[in-house]
Amino acid sequence: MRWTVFAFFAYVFLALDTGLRPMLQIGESGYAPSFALILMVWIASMGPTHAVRWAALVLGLLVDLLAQYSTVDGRATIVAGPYALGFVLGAALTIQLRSLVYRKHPLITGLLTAVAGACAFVPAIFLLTMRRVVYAGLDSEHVIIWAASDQLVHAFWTVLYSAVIAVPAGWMLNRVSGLFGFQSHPRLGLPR
Amino acid sequence: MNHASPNRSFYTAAAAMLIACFLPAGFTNWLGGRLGELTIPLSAPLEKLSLAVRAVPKSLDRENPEFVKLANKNKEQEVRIYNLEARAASLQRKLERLQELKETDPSFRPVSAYRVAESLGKSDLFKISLGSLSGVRVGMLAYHQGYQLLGRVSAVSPRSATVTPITSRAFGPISAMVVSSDGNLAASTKCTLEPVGDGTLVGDVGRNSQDEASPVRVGQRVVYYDTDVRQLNTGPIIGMIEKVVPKDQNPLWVTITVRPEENLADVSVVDLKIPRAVASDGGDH
Repeated sequence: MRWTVFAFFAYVFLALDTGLRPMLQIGESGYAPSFALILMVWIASMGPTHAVRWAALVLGLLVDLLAQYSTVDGRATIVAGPYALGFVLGAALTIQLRSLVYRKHPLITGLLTAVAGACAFVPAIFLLTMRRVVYAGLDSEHVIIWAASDQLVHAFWTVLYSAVIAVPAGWMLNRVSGLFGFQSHPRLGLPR
Repeated sequence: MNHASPNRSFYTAAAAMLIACFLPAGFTNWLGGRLGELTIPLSAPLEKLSLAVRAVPKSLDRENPEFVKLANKNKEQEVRIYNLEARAASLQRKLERLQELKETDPSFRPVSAYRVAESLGKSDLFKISLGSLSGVRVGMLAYHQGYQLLGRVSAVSPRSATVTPITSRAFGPISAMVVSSDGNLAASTKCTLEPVGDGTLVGDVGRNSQDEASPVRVGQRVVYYDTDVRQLNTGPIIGMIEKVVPKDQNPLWVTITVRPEENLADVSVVDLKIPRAVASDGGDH
């Protein structure tokens, strides 16, 4: 996998995440698709296993660094790690599933996004909830304002919306897949 | 054996991420602030486009010709009324702005920043185009058009800052004052409003002994109550009362629902008041 191409697409997809949200969110609900998740799933369905794991970790970490949580002292804080680990788990599931499906079909990208998204978001929410519990126990002023049930509902709609957007996005990414330099297995057609 | 080393480095990185989940956020705040600034060149035009698209009114597609005819007629009437109302509102705002500028403390410098990015995840936080280099500090209040209270700065990096809007639950309780219709300070009532997450704020207000029949009415203005605000009518506005519900348990109190005059989700320009001393220290750009 060409890492410069990955870096370029990661930059563009993260900018889409942070910039297009007001336009794409449904009403005032705040439900918006995650382009970073779509990119992670698409790379996980196409790339070599070892590179996919690192790509998922990096993408998840970038999502962590661009997500801010309000704390009880009125500040906004960033927590590194939850989405990095969540994306790694999501990528691992995609790697397991990709040999069962026709990966180049755009609908499959949508389907994999739904499944892998759930696998990525639930552990991330669990870790953030654990962090909240630990900090609340320490009576710290850096406790994040956080309701796990709200977050799960939000994650459900985000994953569903991302799966819908993943269909055209997957089609577009399939057009430019040559840029990533993925190598197929000579006999099976699977990534090395 | 060949893959042992790469695997080990990956698992080490994953373990580091797990530990990082529970670490204090000092370094990650710094790193995230820099990364956010890196994405601004691309996210800012996308954000501008998004806000412009949101501003386009959604047109209704009706097929019934009679309905279309009546709707068009109604539209013409509405447009006339809207134009008159808009003109009145515009003049009112100009007057308020002038009053505010007249009362503004000269030790503060008003600046405007653009909304350039949204925070990822489930939050209403957004980023603006000015940061600590321009004198922006955590805790500063953000306004829209100089008079509508928009939110509070909750994080700062050199060239961008994060704003928590007043309608976000994360903003917390807000001290406010319901301004009486005639602007009489003595008849105005203090209250505490709490954002509920649907774009409104809710709070309980005690009945005023001077006007027992209808102490608080729909349409009354609610302003931010702060000891620094010297004159009530020039303080930042939180919004207008859109609902008043009597409290069953206590007849001396009513619950009010306040909605900001502007839809804060669509605001693209944010005003801040920078202390002149801070601005000169921070190396304004």
